[in-house]
Amino acid sequence: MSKHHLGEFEEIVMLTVAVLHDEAYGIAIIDEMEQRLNRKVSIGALQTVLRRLEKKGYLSSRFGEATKVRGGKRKRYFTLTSYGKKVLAEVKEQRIGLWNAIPKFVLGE
Amino acid sequence: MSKNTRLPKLPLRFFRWYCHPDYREDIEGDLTERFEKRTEEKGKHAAKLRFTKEVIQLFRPGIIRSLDGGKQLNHYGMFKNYLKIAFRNISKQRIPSLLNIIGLSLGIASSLLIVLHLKQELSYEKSFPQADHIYRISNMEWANYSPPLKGFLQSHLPEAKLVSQIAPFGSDEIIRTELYKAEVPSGYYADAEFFKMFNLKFIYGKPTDALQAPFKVILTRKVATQFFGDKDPVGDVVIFNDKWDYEVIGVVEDLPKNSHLKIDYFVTMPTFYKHVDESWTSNRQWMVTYNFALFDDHTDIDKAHTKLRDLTYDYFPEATQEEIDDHQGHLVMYPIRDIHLHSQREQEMSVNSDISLVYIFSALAMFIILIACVNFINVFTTQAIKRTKEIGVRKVLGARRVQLVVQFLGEAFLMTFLAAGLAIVLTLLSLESYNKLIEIPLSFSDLWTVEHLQVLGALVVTVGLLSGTYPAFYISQQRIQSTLKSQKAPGSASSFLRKSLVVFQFAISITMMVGTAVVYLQMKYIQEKDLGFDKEQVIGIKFYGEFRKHVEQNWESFCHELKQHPAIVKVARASDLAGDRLSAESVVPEGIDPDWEDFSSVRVMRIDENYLEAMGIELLEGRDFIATKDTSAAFILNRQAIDVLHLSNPVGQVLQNNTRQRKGKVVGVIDDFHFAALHQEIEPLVLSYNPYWARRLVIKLKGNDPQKALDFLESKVKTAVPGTLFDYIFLDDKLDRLYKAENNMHKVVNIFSLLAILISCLGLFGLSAYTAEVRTKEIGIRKVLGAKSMNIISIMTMDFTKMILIAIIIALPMSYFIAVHWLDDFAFRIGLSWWIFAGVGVLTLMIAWLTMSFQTVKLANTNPVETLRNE
Repeated sequence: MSKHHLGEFEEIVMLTVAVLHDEAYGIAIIDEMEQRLNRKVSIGALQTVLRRLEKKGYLSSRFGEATKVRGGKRKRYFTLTSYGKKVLAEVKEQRIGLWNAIPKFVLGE
Repeated sequence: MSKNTRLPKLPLRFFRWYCHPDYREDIEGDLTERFEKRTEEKGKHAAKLRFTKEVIQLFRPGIIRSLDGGKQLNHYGMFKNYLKIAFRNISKQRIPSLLNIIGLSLGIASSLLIVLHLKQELSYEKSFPQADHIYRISNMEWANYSPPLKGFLQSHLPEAKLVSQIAPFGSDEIIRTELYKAEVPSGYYADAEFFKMFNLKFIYGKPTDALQAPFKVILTRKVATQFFGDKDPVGDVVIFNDKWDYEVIGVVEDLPKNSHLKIDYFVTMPTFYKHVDESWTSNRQWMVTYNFALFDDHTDIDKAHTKLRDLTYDYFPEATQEEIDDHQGHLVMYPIRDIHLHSQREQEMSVNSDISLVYIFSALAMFIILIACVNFINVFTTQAIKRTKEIGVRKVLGARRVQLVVQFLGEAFLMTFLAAGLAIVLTLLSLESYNKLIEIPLSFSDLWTVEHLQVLGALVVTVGLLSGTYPAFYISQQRIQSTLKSQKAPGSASSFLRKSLVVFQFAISITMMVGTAVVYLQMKYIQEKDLGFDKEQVIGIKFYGEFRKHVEQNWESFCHELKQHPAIVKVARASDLAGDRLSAESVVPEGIDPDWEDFSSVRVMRIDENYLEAMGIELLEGRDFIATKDTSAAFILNRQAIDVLHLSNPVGQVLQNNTRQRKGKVVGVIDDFHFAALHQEIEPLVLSYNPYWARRLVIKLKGNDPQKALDFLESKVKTAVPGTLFDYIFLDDKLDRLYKAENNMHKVVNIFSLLAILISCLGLFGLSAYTAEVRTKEIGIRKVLGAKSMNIISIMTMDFTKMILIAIIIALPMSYFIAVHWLDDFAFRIGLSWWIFAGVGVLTLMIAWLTMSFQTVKLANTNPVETLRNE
């Protein structure tokens, strides 16, 4: 097992953050995930994972400007750290490695 | 945003309360955004519901703020660290910590038990509201007094608010109703004042006038339930001795257990005056009633005190003052609160305890807790010394001394608390068996009283302070350089104190062990002492009611009938058994003026012609009683009696019994035998031939199966007098009961001295483990240089052996003094020979060596490569 273990949901969250690039804040991530993956995500589940990933150093965050919408509250935007990118890349490598290792006839038929 | 799309208030407040402050703003923003969007899409209510759900879903560990709050305005963090370090240390040095806590909890638990026991002893009579103002009135020698005293006090001692009188109601009576019968041991005649004076609460009936009427009875709750169940028995009848029908007029609460008044039912006082002839009830010499006086306050009590002495002269108008002064027969008053622990007079109402037991037990409690503390100090200090590096680092990082002291005191308290918790559990577990052991009812609930919890709290604080202070201050004063640098064990300076503590601890344990040994030997001596008669296989059977008459009328045939059984050797009749308190009467040679008071009273026992043989008592001179010859009074005397009565040629001498107004010849002389407990010297004894006054059968058995003989006896008694009670006792059992107090003490001292030595050894084990650890390298080098295992063991053991030898030297004189003091209570006692002390000393050394050997042997056999390898 690699030392950077990523849970499935963690991986998806990180990928989504990457997809949204500079616009990744809580609701945007949820919307994106619901759209692309067709799965319900609660704020609670997402936020916990975000904080955990931040603590592990895979994500970093910054506050946006205050606006009149959302009760005047600022958004917190998440971005991948380079460490996070490395971990994602590693995960991808592993997956591809696995895919490649599958004998052709197993899936090919 | 319009007003009706406001966020639901309650969930929002909840969210703001729990959310980590760093995340609050943006998550709330997210929530709001969602809420707004959903309001548009699905309407207000669905949105609100959804919002609440999301808030609840957010309530999870990653989001919730930490409990401390964000800001650090206090030392919580530091305390948290202390606590964490404390627990880490406990689990790192698991065995010493465990030993420490166990030792301490054993100590606390034992003292808790003893404190409970003492509290019970000291609480006697406390439950009577007016107990502090009630005094028992009698003279210096007796607990009871003659019947006319009550009337006399009422007229001559106006200071007393109430005067009450009670008298034993023949303690062997059976009480029965039509439906149920049983022996109820303790009944008393009691007057109306008694119920007022002792505030006895009536559950059924509220008799006032009836208390002044004869042939009425008042039961305690216990007896009432035994006979009548839960129903109200007032108006019912109980029957005594198959002939007296008394009406129940009331039921009172049971008397408290912690009272010297052990009374199960009351018969109204006028009954006494109907039962007993007036010539007796007006006899001012007949000691039979217990008299109590209640006073208003202490000025009255003081007045009564001074007045009573002179009142004695009025009470005996025919006696001169000198005669009364000579006999020390003055009336005195005795506070009832002191009776249980201080009074040891003739005819006490129940077996009283002794204040010296209280002292002994308090000392035990103190000693055990001290030993436990000493242990704790020693082991805790050595444990702390191992942590000098930690202390050094703390100091470098800026810890002040106070902080270190607080840290170590805190740890000591933590351990004390753990130990106290464990101690409570231990106490609860052992309470039952302790109760059985000492036959004093202590209950769980006693343990939970506020007062007792305060005691426990005080104990914890004292123990914590006592055991934490020294290590805390000692450790915290170490210099930074030495703590960080040194490989060697610090603290040779403290070792003097530690050593003296060990000496102290063992001195106490040894003293306790000597005490145990002495008590044990004395008890064994008592059991094995030749009493002058054969106590084995002798049983006493009480006469109840008609049974006595039956035996009296059909003696020859009944006796013959019993002897048919092969195991029954001898059947005799006697007024008392050995160990009973015999009546004291005035017996003098004939022709001596009875007022000539140069003869002290003698003990008198009534027996028949078979008694001496049944008991295996041998005659020195003269003959045994013969039924056909000794038709008038005849006496057999023991040697003491002959000395006291100055008889040079006793056989044939005529004696007169002034108390009973009887005259008779001395027919025989026996050697002194121990008819009372070995606490007392053998008193002059007169055996009087009078089978009609017998109160029990004395039967000598043989063979190995007494039960068969007992069954046979029971069937014979029951067929002779249907419906009577068959109540027997083995003489040796009865004699054992005389030493109940000593036996109880013996057991208690046994257990606690065992505990003391156990705790001491726990400490020794901890200390030797520490020394072994410190000297590991040294031993390794010694082994490399050629030391043998034995050498190493002796080197390691030497230090402690010295300490224990010193402890022995200190303890022996101390224990000798205590032992002599205790043995003083016995007229017949063992000599204190040197080997008791030597034995205990050697035993202690052996135990200590054994304890240390766990460490030393292990270390001595370790390959030096192991110990020297890592530097």
